[in-house]
Amino acid sequence: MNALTLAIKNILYRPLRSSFNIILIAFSVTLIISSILINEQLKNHFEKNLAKIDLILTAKGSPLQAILCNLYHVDAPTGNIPVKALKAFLNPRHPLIKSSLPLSLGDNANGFRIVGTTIEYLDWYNLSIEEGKQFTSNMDAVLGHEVAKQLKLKIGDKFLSGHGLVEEEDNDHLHHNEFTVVGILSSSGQVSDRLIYTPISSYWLIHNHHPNEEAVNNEAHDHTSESHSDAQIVYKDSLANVDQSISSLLLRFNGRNIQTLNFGRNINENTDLMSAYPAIEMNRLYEITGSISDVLFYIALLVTLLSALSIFISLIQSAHERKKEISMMRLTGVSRSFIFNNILFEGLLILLIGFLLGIISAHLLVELLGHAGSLKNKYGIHGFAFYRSELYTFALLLILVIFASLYPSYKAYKVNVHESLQS
Amino acid sequence: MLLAQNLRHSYANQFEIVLPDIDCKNKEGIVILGKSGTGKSTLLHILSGLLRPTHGKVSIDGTDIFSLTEAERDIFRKKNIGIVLQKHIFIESLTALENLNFFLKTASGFSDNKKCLNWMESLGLGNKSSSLVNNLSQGELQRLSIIRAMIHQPKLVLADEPSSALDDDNANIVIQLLQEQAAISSAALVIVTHDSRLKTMFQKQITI
Repeated sequence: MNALTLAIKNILYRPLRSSFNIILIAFSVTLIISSILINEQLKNHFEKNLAKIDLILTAKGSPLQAILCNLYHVDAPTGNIPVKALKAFLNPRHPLIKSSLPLSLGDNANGFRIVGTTIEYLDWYNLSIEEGKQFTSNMDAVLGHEVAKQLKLKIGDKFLSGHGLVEEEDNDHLHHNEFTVVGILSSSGQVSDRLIYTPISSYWLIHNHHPNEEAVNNEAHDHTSESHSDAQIVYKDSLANVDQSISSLLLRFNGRNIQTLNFGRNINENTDLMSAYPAIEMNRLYEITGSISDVLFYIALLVTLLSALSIFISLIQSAHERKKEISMMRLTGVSRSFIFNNILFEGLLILLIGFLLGIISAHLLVELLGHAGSLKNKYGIHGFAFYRSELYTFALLLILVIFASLYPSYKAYKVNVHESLQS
Repeated sequence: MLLAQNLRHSYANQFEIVLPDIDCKNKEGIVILGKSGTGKSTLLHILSGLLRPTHGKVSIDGTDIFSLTEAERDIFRKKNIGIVLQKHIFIESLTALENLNFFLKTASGFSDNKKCLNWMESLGLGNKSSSLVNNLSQGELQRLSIIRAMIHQPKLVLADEPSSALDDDNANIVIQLLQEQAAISSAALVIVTHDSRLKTMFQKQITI
């Protein structure tokens, strides 16, 4: 029997006290690790979907809302803007703008948001088509990986869309135009996994009951939706000439400088449009969420300190209760270092078991939260991701528990055999 | 085997206790009688090397034990001395057999289940091997203590009040057991007690 096995026996011999300490450790680890998981994945999610977008142009409203809606697809659009007002920014020879991507938002199919855009979205978000092809006609739909999986849609399937951004029971809000699945995207781990892409002109088709003749093309056509479905879609180069509204225009600049900064300010001051810098708005958001996660972190730290304290007290108690036993061991020749290790190992074992339980419960908890609070859908938060900070947490706890175990171990190490056997 | 000379000890701020000289040979038994407070436990702790006397010398099998360092003394003690205390203290979280094995391994460097079981068998503890020590009776614990003190065949067995809590019959049994086992291991046996019943059982007696 070595000091480690004896430590295990001692833990098992006092199950109530040991399990209390293990639960405390597990609880603090759960708090720390789950907040790490949520924070890291949230940050990851936001950074991944930034897609090097420097500025977005929308209707006036809240800039943060505009970013959340147009980049992360979690909030409602701020309103529509006429394409006419954007004409200058659609000019390919604009000195500051490298490229732009128009978006129309506001509809959903079974809770999945439908994004009207132009074919450039594939390059902007580094997406690739797994199955089928890019949209070529109005009412063509390219589904994100998750959308196809969850709605069980295949190439050639048809579905209806509804107005609004969430699924509604009420069928009155369903549009009568049917979408046809033409392509399915490979999984990218971005929001696009959960989006449905369609030509931006599909939106006008659905919403404008009397669309302008020049809106889509110059061919004569009647006003029934069937004929619109076959109509040619709008590409980027013809967008500027269309008399329609869109939700936003995403911009990439040629470079970032003082001019691009003034560019946004000028738009806000001199036009009916609003410009929002994703980087600035997201930093603002991090400041808010950061202080919340700071509070969580401090609570977790407090609980951790508490559990280290509890281990400390338990070990002191254990060493005290076992004083005679330890003296007897010393009397029969058990070395001081054995006694020291025995107490230390008891603390370390409690930490190890508690930490393992904590890690497991944190990952399960976050996975459950991801499903229950639809955090997985909205922010890609799930339980089966692992981060280096989890190791740092272990290191931190290890140091704490070693400190908590040192004094009791030392006390046992120094036990005065002669005195404690006489009492 | 055991030679103690000119032992004196004083605790901090207390008067000095003068302890008797002892000379105990192999296979010899000696009883040291004394009333409470005369320094019996102090003597026993000095003889086992736990407590350094303020004055005097203890040599066991030719080794002056207080010329050794504390760590060396620990090793010397576990190899050469078996100790039976008045209270029977064992490791609570271990079974009777595990306890014996633990102490055997400490003393001799290896554990030996069979040897432990044989000893337990011969002292009527065969069916208690897997009981936790807290579930053993005082009598059973006493026998377990004796096994623990003897199992590694020490050269010297020290016993502190082994009989004082027992009735006449059991006191006889325990003392005989100690004498027999000491004889089998050719160990010297030193009993420290205030139990005057032991006077008749040992030829060599020292009163303090």
